[in-house]
Amino acid sequence: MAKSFEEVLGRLQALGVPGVIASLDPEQASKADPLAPVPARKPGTKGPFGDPHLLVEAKRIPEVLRTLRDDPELRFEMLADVTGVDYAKEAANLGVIYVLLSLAHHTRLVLRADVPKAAPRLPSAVEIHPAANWHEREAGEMLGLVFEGHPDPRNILLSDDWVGFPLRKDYEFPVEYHGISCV
Amino acid sequence: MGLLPAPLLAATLLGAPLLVAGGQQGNFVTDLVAKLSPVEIPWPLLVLIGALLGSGFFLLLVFITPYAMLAIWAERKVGGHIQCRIGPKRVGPFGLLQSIADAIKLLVKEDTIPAGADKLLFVFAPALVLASAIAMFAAVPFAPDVWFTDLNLGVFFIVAISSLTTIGVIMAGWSSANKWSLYGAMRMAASVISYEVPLGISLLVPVLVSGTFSLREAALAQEGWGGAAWYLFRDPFVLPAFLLFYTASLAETKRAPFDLPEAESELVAGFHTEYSGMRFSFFFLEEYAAMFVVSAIGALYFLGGWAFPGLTPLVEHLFGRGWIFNAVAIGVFSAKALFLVFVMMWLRWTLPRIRIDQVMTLGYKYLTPLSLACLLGAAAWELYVVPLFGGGG
Amino acid sequence: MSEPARAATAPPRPVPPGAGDEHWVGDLRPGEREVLLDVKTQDMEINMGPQHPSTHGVLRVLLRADGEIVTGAQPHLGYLHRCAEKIGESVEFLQYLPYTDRYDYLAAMNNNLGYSMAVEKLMGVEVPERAQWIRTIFAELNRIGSHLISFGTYGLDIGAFTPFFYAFREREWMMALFEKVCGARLTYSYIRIGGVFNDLPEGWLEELGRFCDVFEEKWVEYNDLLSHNHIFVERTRNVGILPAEKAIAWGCTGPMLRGSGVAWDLRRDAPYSMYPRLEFDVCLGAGLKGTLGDCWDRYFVKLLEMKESIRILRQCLRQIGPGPVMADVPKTIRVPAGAGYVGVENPRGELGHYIVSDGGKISRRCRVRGPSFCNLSILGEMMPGTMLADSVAIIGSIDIVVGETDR
Repeated sequence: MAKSFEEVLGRLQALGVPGVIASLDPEQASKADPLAPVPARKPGTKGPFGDPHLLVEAKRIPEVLRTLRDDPELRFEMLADVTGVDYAKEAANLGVIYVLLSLAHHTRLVLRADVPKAAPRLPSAVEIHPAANWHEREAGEMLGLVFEGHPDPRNILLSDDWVGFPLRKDYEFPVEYHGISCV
Repeated sequence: MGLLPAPLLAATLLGAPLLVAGGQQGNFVTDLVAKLSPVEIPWPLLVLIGALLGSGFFLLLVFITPYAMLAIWAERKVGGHIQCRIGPKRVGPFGLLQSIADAIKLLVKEDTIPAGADKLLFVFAPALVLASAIAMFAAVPFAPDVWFTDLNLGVFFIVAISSLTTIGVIMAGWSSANKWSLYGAMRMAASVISYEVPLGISLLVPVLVSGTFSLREAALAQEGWGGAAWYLFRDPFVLPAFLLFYTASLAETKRAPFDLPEAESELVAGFHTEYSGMRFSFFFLEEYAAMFVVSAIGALYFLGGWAFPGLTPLVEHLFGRGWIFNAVAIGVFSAKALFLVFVMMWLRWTLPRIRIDQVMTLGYKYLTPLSLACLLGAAAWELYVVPLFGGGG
Repeated sequence: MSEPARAATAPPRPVPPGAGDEHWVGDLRPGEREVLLDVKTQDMEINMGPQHPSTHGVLRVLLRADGEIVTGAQPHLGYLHRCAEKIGESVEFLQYLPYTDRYDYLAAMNNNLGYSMAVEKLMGVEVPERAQWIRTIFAELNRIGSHLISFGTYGLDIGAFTPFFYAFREREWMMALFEKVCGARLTYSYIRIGGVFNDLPEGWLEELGRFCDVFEEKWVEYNDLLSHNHIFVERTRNVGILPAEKAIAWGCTGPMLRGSGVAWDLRRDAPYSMYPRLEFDVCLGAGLKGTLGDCWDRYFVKLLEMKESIRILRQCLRQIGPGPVMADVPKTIRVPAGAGYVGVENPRGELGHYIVSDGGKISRRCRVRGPSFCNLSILGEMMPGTMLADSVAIIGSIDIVVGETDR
C-alpha cells in the first residue's frame, strides 16, 4: 500500500512540479555537496542505508509542499519535521530537511533544500503546514535560517538574546551568559 | 504578630452580639470572672472580658486549635487510606502528633510579605478569617447545658458571620498582589454570593419546622420519640433541604468539589498563595473550624442534635439531666458533626473539581429553585398536614 | 481502515500587529468576544508557569484573560533545554543513548528504541528475533507506565487526587519489573543499538504475566474512578475540541491525533520491531461523551491503549522464544555515511530521529522530533475562548513532558 520513493518521484515529474532538482540516495543526502559524485563502493558491500531524499530548490519549497499535500495520488498531509543541517564547517550550504508523512498512503518522504550559509533565507511553510511554525522557529534559532513570511519568528528554546547559532559547526561556546560562567 | 489581632478582633466581634443577646444570661466565662473577681465589675465590662477571654483562650486555644489539629490529622489519615497509603505515622502514635509538629514548623517559619502587597490588609486578612471562625463557634451549643452563648438568633448569627470569612479571603487575595490570588478571591466572592442563597433558604426549612432560630432550642425540640424525632424524619421536605444545605455548605467552606478559591491545579494555591508560616495556618484553622460549624448546624438542625434513638432517653431515665446526660449529649452531637466532617473529607478525596460556570449553574439553576421548592413544601406541610396529626400549627 | 481526513487549508488565526513580540498571545476570533463575554473588562496578562502545578514541568504559558475567559495564550518554552541535539553531534553513537532517556523521561524505553532503530537503519543491522520481542515488550510496558502517569496527573489537573495514587500503585510494580532487568527505574538505557543490553532474568516473563492479569482488573477500577465520573466528564467533554483536519495540519500525533478520530498508529501503519506479527486495535476517540476530539476523547484513548498494550504483551509472552539478544555490533560503532529518518510510536506520539552520519563514530546531525513539542504547538490555537479551568484541562490532555518539548 505504501508508495515507494520512485513512485512519488515519478508522480512529481509527471506533474511537472518546478523546483525538484534531483533525487539523492542516503549517502549523497549526508554530504554537504549532494550533487558531487560519490566514490564507487566496494563490490559486495551493502548499502547505502537510510532514506532517499528529494533535493528541492529552496525558493520553491512552498509550491512543492503544496503539490505534495494536495495531489490526490500523493497526499502528504502531515509535515512531521522541519530541521536544518550544517554538514561541515567549510561547507558553503546549509541543508533544510522536511519530513513529510502521507496518512492516506502510509508513505514518508524526506525533502532537502540547500541554502547558502552566507544568506540562509527561504520561504516559510507555515501557510501550507501550520505544523512548521515551531519547527521553523527552532531551526531558525539553532542554525540561523531565516524563514521569510513566518508569522512569529522569535526564538523558541533559546533565550531571545542568545548570540550565535548553536548547531552551526563553527559555533563557539560562550564563556559567560549574563555574568553566569559557562565553562 | 499575626497571632495578636485575631483574638482581639474576634472579641470585639463577639462582644457586640453578646451585649445584646447575652444581656440577661451571660456565659460561663462571665460567670467565672464575676465569681473570681474581688470587686464588682459593671455588666458591660464583664461581658467584654468574658468575650475576650472566652474567644481568645477558651475557644481558640482550648477548642478550635486542638480540634483543627485533630481534623487535619484525620484528613490526612482519611486521604491516605482512600488513596492506598497509610498517611502520617511517624510523629507520635498513629502520627497523631504530626499536626503539632507541623504547627511548630509553621510557627518558626519565615513570615514573608510580598513586596507589592498591601501590608495592612495582608496582615489583617488571616486575623479576620480566624476571628470569624471563632465567632461562629461561639454560637454552637454542644449539649443542653454546655454552650458558650445561647443566641436566640443563633443560626442567623452563624450564617452572617460566616460571610465575614469571605471578606477575609477577598482581602487576602487582593492584598497579595498576585493575579492567581486575585482569581481565588473573585471566585470566592462569586461562589459565596450565589451559594448563600440556597444555604439560607434550605436552612429556613428546619427553622420553619422548629419555629426557632436558636440552635439549642431546635436541638431540644428533637429529643422526643425516644430520641428519634429528628427533623429529618418529621417532614418529607427536610431531607432534600438537608442535602441542599450540605451541598451549599461545601461551597461556603470552599471544600471539594467547590474548592475553586484555592484550586491548586488551576490557581496554584488561590488566595493563600503568598501566605506562609502562622498566617497561612490561620486559613487552615478557619477552614476546619468552618467545616465543623456547618456540620454542627447540620447535626443540630437536621440530624437531631444530641438526641440518639434509645441512648439519650435511657441516659436521661437513668441519670436525669445532669452532667452525665450533658457528657453523653456532647459525645452524640460531636459524633454526628464529625461524621459530616468526615463525609466532607471523603468527598474531597474522591471528586474532581467543578468549573466556575458549572458552580454558578448548579447554584442558580438547581440549588436555589430546589431549596425554594423545599421551603414552600415544608410550609404547606406545616399548614395543612401537621394539623391532621394534631400537631400545633 | 477509515481514510484520514484531508488536511484542510485551515487558515491560522488572524495575526494582529505586534506578532513576533514577546507579549503577543493571539486573540479571540472576530466576534467571539461579544459571544463569550457578558461583562467586558480589561484583559489581564497572567503567567501560567514556569512554576505552576498544572503545566507538567517548567512550561510557561502567557495567558491573557478577561475574567475567567482566556482570550489569548502563548506557550514559552526552553526552561528545560539541555542541548540534546548539540550533544548528539559531540558524543559517540552509543554514548548518546543515555541522553535519549531524558527527553520523554516517562517513556525512556521507547526513546531508546527510537534512537537505536534510527542508528540501526543507517548501519543496516539486523536485530535478533528475541531482542525484537524483548524490545516490543518493553515498549508496551513503558507505554502503560507512561499512560498511567498521564491518567493520574490528568485526574490531578481536574482536581481529583486519588486516581494519581491508584495509578502509582501499578506503576510501582511496573518499575520493579524494569529494575529487575536493567537496575534503573526511570532512565533505563536498556535497549541498545543492535539489540538489548541483557537477557531477561529467570522468571521475569512469568511475573509479567501476573502483572497483566492484575492490571486488567485494575483497569476497570480506573474507569470507575475517573472516566465516567460525572464531574470529570462535565469538565472534559466539549472542551478543547481538536478537529481531525486541524490535528493533521498541526502535526499532532499519538493519542492526540487518535483522539480526534484519525486512525493513525505507526505500530500498525509503518510497522517496526515485532508489531507486524501482533494483533491489536488502534484506539480511537469517538465523541462518546461530547464532541469528537475533545479532552475526554484524548483522555480515553490513552486508557484504551493501556488495555491494548496488555493484549500485545500477552501475545508477546506467547510468542517469545530463546535466542541471542544482541546483534553483532562492534564496541565502537561506526555508522556508514548516510542520512535517514526513523519514527516510532511513543506513548505521546511519533518520536522521530533524523540522523546524518559521515561514516565516523560521531553523527553529523542528530535531530529529535519530540511528539510533545509538535502536539504542544497547537496550544495557542486551542486555548483562546475557553475558561481558565479549561486551559488546565487542555494542557493536561495534550499530555506533554517538558523534557521532550525542550530537549
